[in-house]
Amino acid sequence: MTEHDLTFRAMGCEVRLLIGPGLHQNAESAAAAARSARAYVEDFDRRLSRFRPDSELSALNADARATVPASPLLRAAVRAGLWAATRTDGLVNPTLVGALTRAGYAGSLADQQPASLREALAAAPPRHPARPHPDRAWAAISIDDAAGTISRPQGVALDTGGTGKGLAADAVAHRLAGRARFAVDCGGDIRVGGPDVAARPFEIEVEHPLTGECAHVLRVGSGGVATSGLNVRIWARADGGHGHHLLDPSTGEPAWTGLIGATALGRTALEAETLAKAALLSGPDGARRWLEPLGGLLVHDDGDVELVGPLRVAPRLRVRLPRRPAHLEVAA
Amino acid sequence: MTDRLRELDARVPHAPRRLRKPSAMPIITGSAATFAALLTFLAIQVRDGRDPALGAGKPAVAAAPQRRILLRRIEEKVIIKRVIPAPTPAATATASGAATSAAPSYTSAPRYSAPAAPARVYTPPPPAPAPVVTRTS
Repeated sequence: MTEHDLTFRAMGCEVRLLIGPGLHQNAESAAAAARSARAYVEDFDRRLSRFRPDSELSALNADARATVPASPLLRAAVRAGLWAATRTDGLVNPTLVGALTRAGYAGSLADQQPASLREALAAAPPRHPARPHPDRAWAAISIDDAAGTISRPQGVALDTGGTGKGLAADAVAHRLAGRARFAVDCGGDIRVGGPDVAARPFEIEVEHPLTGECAHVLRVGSGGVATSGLNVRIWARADGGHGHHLLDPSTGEPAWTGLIGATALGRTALEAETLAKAALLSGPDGARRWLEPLGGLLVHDDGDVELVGPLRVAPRLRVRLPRRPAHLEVAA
Repeated sequence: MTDRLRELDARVPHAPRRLRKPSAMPIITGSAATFAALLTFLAIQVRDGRDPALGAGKPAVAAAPQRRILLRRIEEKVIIKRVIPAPTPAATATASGAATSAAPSYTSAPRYSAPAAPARVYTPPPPAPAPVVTRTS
């Protein structure tokens, strides 16, 4: 049984939906469910993009009031960013809009050719793990669902992009709860689900950030998978150096930690995305701690791929037969 | 009565009494007959599958064939992209050109041509969907 397969562009990346049949007889067709999910993702993008001046997020950041009315979707997006900050103790920080703009990420880079990661690595400063910013500005943001408002300190702008794709994948997955099997891929942040997926897990290829080849294949029965890396949103700066979108919150500068990619498994796509970012920002040693409980994959600066946590496999036993038994057949 | 008997007895000359050796022929014949009968009986039984030496009753169990383990198999996948339909008589005539059409005809009766079987159109299975890939976004 195959799933309806729909791919389109949104949120500055490629979104792919694989939707199986409904569990109930009167369920809408997979194609109709895919159209509905696409409309949801496009609406999500339109309302929450930092690069659209007419989005709700841009309106929130432009509002001078301390407390601003916000739609349920905007509140959910900000809450997801705060959840990620809490989970990582500020390493994944939704309040770095100013630093991102100063680093060169003021507009969407979706249509621009990324700079060479190899050249960037050769010119990058010494590696060290990123650290949370000591002022913890994100902790002062509050959401009031009863009043329908978001309150934040003056001058703090919010970027929900760091957790937006994972949140979108989870939200679409929630809408596909009546499907036998589905996968929602928002630019590499993936959520799979459905009762059939345990018996027929999705095989998810992990793309190597340097070679573009498949570094590993994950078999995911449910939950989320996400990858964070330096190879896409990376650009050359006027000073000869390179910038990318994963900033060290303590310095506001692009983080060079010894890792160029991290893939994380999570119970949701949001959790996987958060863990992947935290792992990449923490450097190899810290990344292993982040990925150990649920599993993940690290790609080091030299291109080496390291499996972490449950993905690590014991070395295979080599069994040498003393002599080939007569009943073994060798077919050409 | 007793006297009479004594008289008769006296008249009959008494030959010395000898035990007669029995003939071997009946013994041999009887043994051979018994043996033949027994052999015939057993032969019939064995022919019918009731060998007394093997015992009675249990159905024969076929020995399980030894499991064959395939170490290596090379599969070649052939994807048919275009199916060329089987040539019809008309198409054959066209393709063979003037030589065929100019061949002498020795009969005026129309040739019987079997109806061409409909060409079987191979419908390839739908292509496997592209793998789901997680990548830097």
